[in-house]
Amino acid sequence: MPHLSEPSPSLYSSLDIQTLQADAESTLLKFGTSFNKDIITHASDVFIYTSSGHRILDWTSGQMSCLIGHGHPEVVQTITNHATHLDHLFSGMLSPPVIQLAKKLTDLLPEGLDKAMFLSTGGESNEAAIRLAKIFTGKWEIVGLGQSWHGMTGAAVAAQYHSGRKGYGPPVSILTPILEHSDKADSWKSCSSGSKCV
Amino acid sequence: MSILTKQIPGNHALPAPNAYRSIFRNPDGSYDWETELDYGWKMVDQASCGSLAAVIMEPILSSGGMLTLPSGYLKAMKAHCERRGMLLILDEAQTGVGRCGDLFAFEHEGVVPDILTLSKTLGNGLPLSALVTSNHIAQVSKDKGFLFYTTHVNDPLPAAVGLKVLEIVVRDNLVVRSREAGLKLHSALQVLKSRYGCIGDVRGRGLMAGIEIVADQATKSPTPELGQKLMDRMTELGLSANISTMASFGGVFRIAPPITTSDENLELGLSIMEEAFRSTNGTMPLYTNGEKKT
Repeated sequence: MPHLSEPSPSLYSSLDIQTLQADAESTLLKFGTSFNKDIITHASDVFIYTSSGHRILDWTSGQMSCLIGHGHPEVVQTITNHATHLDHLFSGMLSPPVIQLAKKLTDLLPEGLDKAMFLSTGGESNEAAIRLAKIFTGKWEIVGLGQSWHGMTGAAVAAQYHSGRKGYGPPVSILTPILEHSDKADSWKSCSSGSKCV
Repeated sequence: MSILTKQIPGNHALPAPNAYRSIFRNPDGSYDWETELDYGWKMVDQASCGSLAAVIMEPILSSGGMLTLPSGYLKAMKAHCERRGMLLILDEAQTGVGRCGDLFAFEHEGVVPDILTLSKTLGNGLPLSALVTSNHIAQVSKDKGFLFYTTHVNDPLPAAVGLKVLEIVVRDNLVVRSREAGLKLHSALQVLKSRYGCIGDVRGRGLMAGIEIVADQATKSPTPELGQKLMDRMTELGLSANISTMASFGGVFRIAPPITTSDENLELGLSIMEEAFRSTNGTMPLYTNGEKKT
């Protein structure tokens, strides 16, 4: 029972799909997944649509992300307003939505989760979390669970055991000269290759 | 002391809590996660260079096959961390903001992590992530010079989207919706499991579910080819459900629909799933003429 329906006005109609597929093959770098042959031209609420109009119920919320559906009208309005009036700033500057999100989020969370910072991806937030844990404890060993997934950046992927560990050298880049962690919990010493660290 | 006496770098693994496949068993056959966890920590303690900083983990291991934590597991993990002066980092990329029938999955476990990370669901598809921690950790780290200065830190546009998502989830009571729809989903998937011999296990919570496909329910041997055939058939019929394929693990369908999904669309997805199992060779139906075999 394939579902064929007319998607609402699409950004991408009357395309030469075969050319697009050939261009995809010749120009896109493969990064670990095979690409679906179908080209998706439209996403709305809980459905996505292929270029041929085949409607597919999206039970993975994109990459497990579209929590309240694709193109939620209030989210669309928020993006439009901010793209128009308040998009991106110097990192030291603050804006109302950032303060309001921190307030809203920490109000919803219990005591002990009091201060927030906002980044772009999950890998980046895990990277920041691991850095924070290291500087707070003055220690540097991280424990993860087998089959875990935490992201593709240095410290995040180093704590990830699902797949993709082989072929990239040590999971956390080792600086040369090698860093020596002294007995004093939060101080680090640099040792040149061949020289002695005391 | 020579630098060569120190081992670098420091990453360690504990066994993933896999109730379906773990070899750690109680005499009655149930999963003995406590012995497994203690055994894992013994290995980590032996391998450690004496600098254990943190555990990072997901409350449901999604990519790893939708593995839910046994009751009491997170509490025991937190105690292991505290004994070693380590922080517990919880990665709620997929589970956070209502997906699993609680606003945050850690609420279900009765444990507050030292650091919480959120991402995927918070931005509803836009690149937005968050790190949240305690006043104490924030203060000590600030004093020690914590640095994470980057181009898109605290950007207004994605933050506004995150704020809107939280407002909508709270205003529209979507956590309750996720919990209730999740009960329907999981009960339907259990029925599906009773109808097809190729379904080894159904797990998850709220609107997050895993269906593990096996060649044989008794031996639990994996059959990634069948999983792939089923996924292709579902796509053909109009349903996208991701299958995770690890050679050692077999295929697990990972389902996480938007929590705004209507009952009608939930039933549509379930009916497509049933049709895919019915019309794909090798799914081992356990019924005849629509009735379950006795």
